[in-house]
Amino acid sequence: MDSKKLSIRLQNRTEEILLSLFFFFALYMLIGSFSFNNQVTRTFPQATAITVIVGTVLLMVRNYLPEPLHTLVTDSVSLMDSDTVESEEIMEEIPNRPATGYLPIQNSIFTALSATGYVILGYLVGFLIASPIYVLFYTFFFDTNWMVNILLAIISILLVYVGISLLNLPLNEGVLLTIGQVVSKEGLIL
Amino acid sequence: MSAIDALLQAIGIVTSGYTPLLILLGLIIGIIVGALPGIGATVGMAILLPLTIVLEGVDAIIFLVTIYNGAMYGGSVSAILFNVPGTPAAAASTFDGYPMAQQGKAIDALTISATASAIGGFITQLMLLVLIPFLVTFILLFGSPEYFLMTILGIVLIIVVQQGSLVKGITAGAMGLLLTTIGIAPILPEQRYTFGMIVLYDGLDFVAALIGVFAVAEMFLLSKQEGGIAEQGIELTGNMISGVKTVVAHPLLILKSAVIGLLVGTLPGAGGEVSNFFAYAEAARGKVENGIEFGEGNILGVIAPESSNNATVAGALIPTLSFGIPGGGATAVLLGGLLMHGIVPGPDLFTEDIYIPYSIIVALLISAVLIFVLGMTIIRYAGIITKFDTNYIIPVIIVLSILGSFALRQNWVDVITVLIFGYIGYLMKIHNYSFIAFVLGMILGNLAETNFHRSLRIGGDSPLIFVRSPLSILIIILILVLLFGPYIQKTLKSAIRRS
Repeated sequence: MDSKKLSIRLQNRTEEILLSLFFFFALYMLIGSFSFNNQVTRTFPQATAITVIVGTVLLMVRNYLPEPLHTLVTDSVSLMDSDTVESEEIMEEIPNRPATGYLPIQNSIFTALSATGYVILGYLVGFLIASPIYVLFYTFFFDTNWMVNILLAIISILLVYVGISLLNLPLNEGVLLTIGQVVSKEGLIL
Repeated sequence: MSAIDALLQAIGIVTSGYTPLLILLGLIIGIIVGALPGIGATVGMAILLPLTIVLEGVDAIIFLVTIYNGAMYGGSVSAILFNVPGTPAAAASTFDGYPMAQQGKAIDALTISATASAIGGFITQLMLLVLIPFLVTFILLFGSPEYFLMTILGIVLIIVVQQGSLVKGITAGAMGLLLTTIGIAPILPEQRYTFGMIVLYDGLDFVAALIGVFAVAEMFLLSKQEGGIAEQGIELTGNMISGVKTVVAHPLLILKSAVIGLLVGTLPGAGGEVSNFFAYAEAARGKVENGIEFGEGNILGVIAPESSNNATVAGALIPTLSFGIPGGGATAVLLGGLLMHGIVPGPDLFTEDIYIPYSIIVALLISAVLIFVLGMTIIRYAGIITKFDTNYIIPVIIVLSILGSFALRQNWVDVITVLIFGYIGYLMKIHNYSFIAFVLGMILGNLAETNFHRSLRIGGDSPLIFVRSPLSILIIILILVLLFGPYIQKTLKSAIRRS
C-alpha cells in the first residue's frame, strides 16, 4: 500500500476515534443523567447528549446514507461560499514531514507524545526539573543549534521560577522529588 | 451612572497605576505573536490568560484586548516582508505589500501598515465610544429567553461562517455545551458527573480547554511545518516619512476601510480574516495609483486592508460585550477572560458597569497611538521576529500552556484537561470540525443553561416563553435561516439549472 493511501486510512481512523470518543462520552452522560434527582438538572445534559449522539452516529454512517441525507450530513455550509461543497475536499493539506532525528515518526505525533511525557515528568519530579529537560529533549530531537537550545532551557527555568515566586505555585514539587533546598519563596539558596 | 461620569472613570482607570504599562506590554506581545505565522493573537491570548489571575478584572481585559490589537498589526510584518501573513487578518496585505518590499520599498510598506492600522483603529474606537449609549437601549430589550437564544445563534453563526459540514459543527458545539454539565448544576446545587471528586465540583475549567484547543493543538499542527519563514535575509530599504505622507493623503480610503472593518467585525464568526479582503476588494474597484496596478505594489492595496483589520477589533467587541458572542478565536478567548474575572456580558455591563466597556475603548484608543509609535520604532528590526524556527517556539509555548493551566486552580485536572483538549483540538482541526463552536459551547454552556431554566421559570415552565416576544421570534427565524438557508439555496439553484 503506498504512503498516500496509508496516510488517508490513518486520517480516517483518527476521525473514527474522535467520533467514538464523543459518542461514548455522550452516551455515558445521557445514561448518567437519569440518576439525577431533579428534572431541572437533567434537561440540559440530556438535550445536548442526544444532539451529540445523533450527530456522531450520522457522521459515522455517512457513507452508507441515502443521497439526500448524505448531502445534508457531509456538505459544507459557509456564508463565505456561494455553493456548498463536500467538506472532505476542504481539508487542509499540510505535508506531514517525518522528524529529523533518531525515530522515524511524524513531527506532530512526536510533539504530542513529548508534551505528554513532559506532563508526566512534571507530575513526578516537578516542573522546575521537567521543563528544561523537555525543552532540551525537544530541540535536540530536531537537531537545532545547541546554544539556542540551552538558552531556551534557561528561559523555561526562569518561567517556572516566576511561577514559583510571583504566583506561589508549587512547581518545584513532584510526587517523587521536591526541590525544596534549592528554591524557596525568598529566592534561590546558593 | 451617566456616560460622561463613566468615561471619566474609565480615563482615570486607564491612565493610573500600571495599566499604561500593561497596554504597552500587551501591544508588544501582540505584535510579536502576530508576526509569527501559526501563533497569532488567539494562541498568545490563550497562554497568557491564566497569568491574568493576578490582575484586576478591567486590567486583565485591557491587557488581553491590546494583545489582540497588536497582533492585528503584527501580522502585516511577515505578510509584507516574506509574503506569509502572520495572521489571517493580514492575508490581503501580501497582495501589494510583498511586491512593494521586492521593489525596495519595504520600509514604505511597513510604515504605511503601521500608520493605516493606527488611524483605522483610532477612528472606529472613537465611533464605538459614541455608539455605546445607543447600544445600551438595544441591549436592554434582551431578557433571559433572548439571551439563551442568542447563545444558540452565536454557535450556529460560528459554524456557518466558517467552513465545514453543519452536522460536524452542531456536534462540536453540542459537545462543548455537554462538557459544561460536569460539576455542580448552576440552577439547583446537585452534583453531576463528579464521581465524588471535589476537584470536579466546579467542573472542567473552560480556560484550560481554551488553552488546549487553541494553543497546544495549534503547536501540534505547527510542528508539521519546518523552519522559520525567513529563508534568507530581506534588505529593508525605503522611506518612513514618505510612507506616513502616503497614508495621510488618502483619508477617505482609510475611513471607508475602517467602517468596513467595524461592520464586518460586528458579525459573529467574521473578523479580520474577512474584513481585510472586503476592504481590499473595495479599494481595488477604484483607480490605479501612480500607474501601478493592484497586486503589483499599489499603496492603496496596503492602506485598505491594514485600516480595516485593526478597525475590526472595535467591531468584534460589540457582540462579545453585549451578548457574549465572539467574532472568532481571539474574541472567544477574550470572552473567556471576561467570565474568568467575573465580568458577564449583557445589560449589567452597559448599565451599572458601563465604565468597563469605556475603559476597554479608551485603552484601545491609546494603543492605536502606540501602534504608530512602536511600528515606527521596530521597523528596522521587524524581520528578526520571523526568523525564529518553529522548533524553538513550540516547546516554549507548550511549557507556557502547561504552567498556565496549573496556575488556574493549582490542580492537575486542569493540566490533564489542557493535554486532552490539545489532542481533541488537533483531531478536530485536521478533520474540519468547528473547534471554535466547541470552545464557545464550553464558554457559554453555564450561561445558556442558567438562562434556559430562568426563562422556563419566568414562563411558568412553558416553552412558549421562547416565542413570546418579537425579538425572540426574530432570533429563532435567524437561526433557522442560517441552518437551512444554504440547503434551500442549493436546491433552488439546482432546480433553476435543471429548468
